[in-house]
Amino acid sequence: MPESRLKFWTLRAVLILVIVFMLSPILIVVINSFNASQFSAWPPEGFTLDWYRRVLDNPAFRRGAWNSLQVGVLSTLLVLILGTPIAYALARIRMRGLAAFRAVLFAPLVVPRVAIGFALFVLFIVLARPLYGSFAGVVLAHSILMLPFVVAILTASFGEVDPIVEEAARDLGASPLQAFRLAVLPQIKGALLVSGIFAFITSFDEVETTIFIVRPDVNTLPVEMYLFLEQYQDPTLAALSTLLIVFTFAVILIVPFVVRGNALLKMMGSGR
Amino acid sequence: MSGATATPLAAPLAAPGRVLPRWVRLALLIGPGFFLIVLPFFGAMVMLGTYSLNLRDANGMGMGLSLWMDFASDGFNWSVLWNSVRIAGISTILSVALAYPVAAALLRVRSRAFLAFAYIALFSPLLMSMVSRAYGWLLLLSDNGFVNQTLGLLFGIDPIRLVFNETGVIIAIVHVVLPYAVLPILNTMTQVPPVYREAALDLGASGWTVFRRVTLPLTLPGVIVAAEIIFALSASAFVTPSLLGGGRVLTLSQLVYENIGMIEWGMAAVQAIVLLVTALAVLFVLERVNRATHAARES
Repeated sequence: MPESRLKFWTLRAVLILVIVFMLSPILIVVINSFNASQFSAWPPEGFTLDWYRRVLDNPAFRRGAWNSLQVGVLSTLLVLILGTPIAYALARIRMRGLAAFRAVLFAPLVVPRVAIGFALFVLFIVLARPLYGSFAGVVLAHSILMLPFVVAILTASFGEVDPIVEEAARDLGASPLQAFRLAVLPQIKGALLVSGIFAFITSFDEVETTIFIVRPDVNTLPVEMYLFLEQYQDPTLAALSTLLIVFTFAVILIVPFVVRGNALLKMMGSGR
Repeated sequence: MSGATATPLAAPLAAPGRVLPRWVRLALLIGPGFFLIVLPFFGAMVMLGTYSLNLRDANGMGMGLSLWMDFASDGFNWSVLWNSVRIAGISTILSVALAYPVAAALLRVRSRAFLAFAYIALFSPLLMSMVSRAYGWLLLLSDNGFVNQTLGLLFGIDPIRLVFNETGVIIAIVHVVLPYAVLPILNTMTQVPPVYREAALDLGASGWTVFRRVTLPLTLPGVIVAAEIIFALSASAFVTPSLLGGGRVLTLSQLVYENIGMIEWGMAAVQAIVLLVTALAVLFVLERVNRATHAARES
């Protein structure tokens, strides 16, 4: 391709600068989690593991982490259990009015998370008081945010499963549920896993909706972190952030072990 | 069982008899999710609208537009709305301006290892908690942080104020949204056949002309999609402006949060709706631009 070297290297330079820009917050957080300076002084004043000890000793962070794990697992399961049949219906059933349902389903994507959080706060206070400040309320909020993503990924995945497989299973005497479980489910396993992990990570990092509907004893970890950072700038948060980055990486690395790389790429292409 | 002895030809005919009517299946499949998740969301949005129509002094009795009048007549609300729109607008322009050359550069990377590294680096913000990212930027940009200390050591200059103002908020927002800008732009760029550019170059067009007349128009849909996503994300951002602004950069989303603390729920409802309508209005405008460019290209 006749293209000037100048243009090529300018583009390459922009790319490298942007890569540095993108990585810099992660790097500084990880480095400062070992920085002995109380005030995160730069350059670092020495090496310490003290901040990690403080994270583990902090009761608010421990309770928040446990709350976030429970909320993350529960809302991911709920969204997968309710979202899979919806995605199946959208992929397989042609019917008037379904387009309207689809629009309704994806509406939470365009509503600012703060607005969703406040609207749920009002709904809970006025019509469902026990949900305010409860696990069930937070699980519902996270499910609302994640359902559109999960349904989008799963609908694309169902679209790639040939309906003939299921019909064959039915002709061979399987009940509709058996046919689904034996002939269809194995083929969308990867998409279920990817959307599940995506949903869990979204839930685990959610602040902007959650903060409106929690009470201190059900505060999730990111909400605790937000409230902490509003008041202190102490390297305890650097240590906690580093632990969370490692945790997120660990969750994401499950995927390649369970799904073969090839299938994963295909799903990422169809999932967006 | 006569079905078992039926000829293969008869089997497909038998199948519909075992299936429930279509609308029953549909209700069973989408009903639970609809009632447990979709309906509460709509209930909440209806409550939001109702709350914004409450009369300020009537203890919830009676409906009216008085809260909306209050919102519109208070210049403070307008200046905060303008803050949100300005920050989102600048972040959108900067992100797209960075994402475009980044996407073009990614297309030219030959080494698979470097490409993998570049992708991981570009998408690394998504692996990091929103609060952690804000904290990272506070560490980098504060007066005694990495950037100012390095500048001081190299050039002996006084710290530049980079946090607790709009600069810091915009830097951190661009960092968060950039991955969402790169993807759609990269997507449209890969769909432009290289022969188009080569043909234009062979016909004697300069590099700049080829970009302006061929590459840019063909990749514009990706740019518009990127702008839509980024504007919506940055106009409604709450954690990033709140932490990096340190209370000195007020956006509409922060007003909503503050007002519920002050039990001004009606006003918070009005502000939340204004936030939503602003995001939708910009989506609508960009979508019109998108259609117009499509139409112009096809004519």
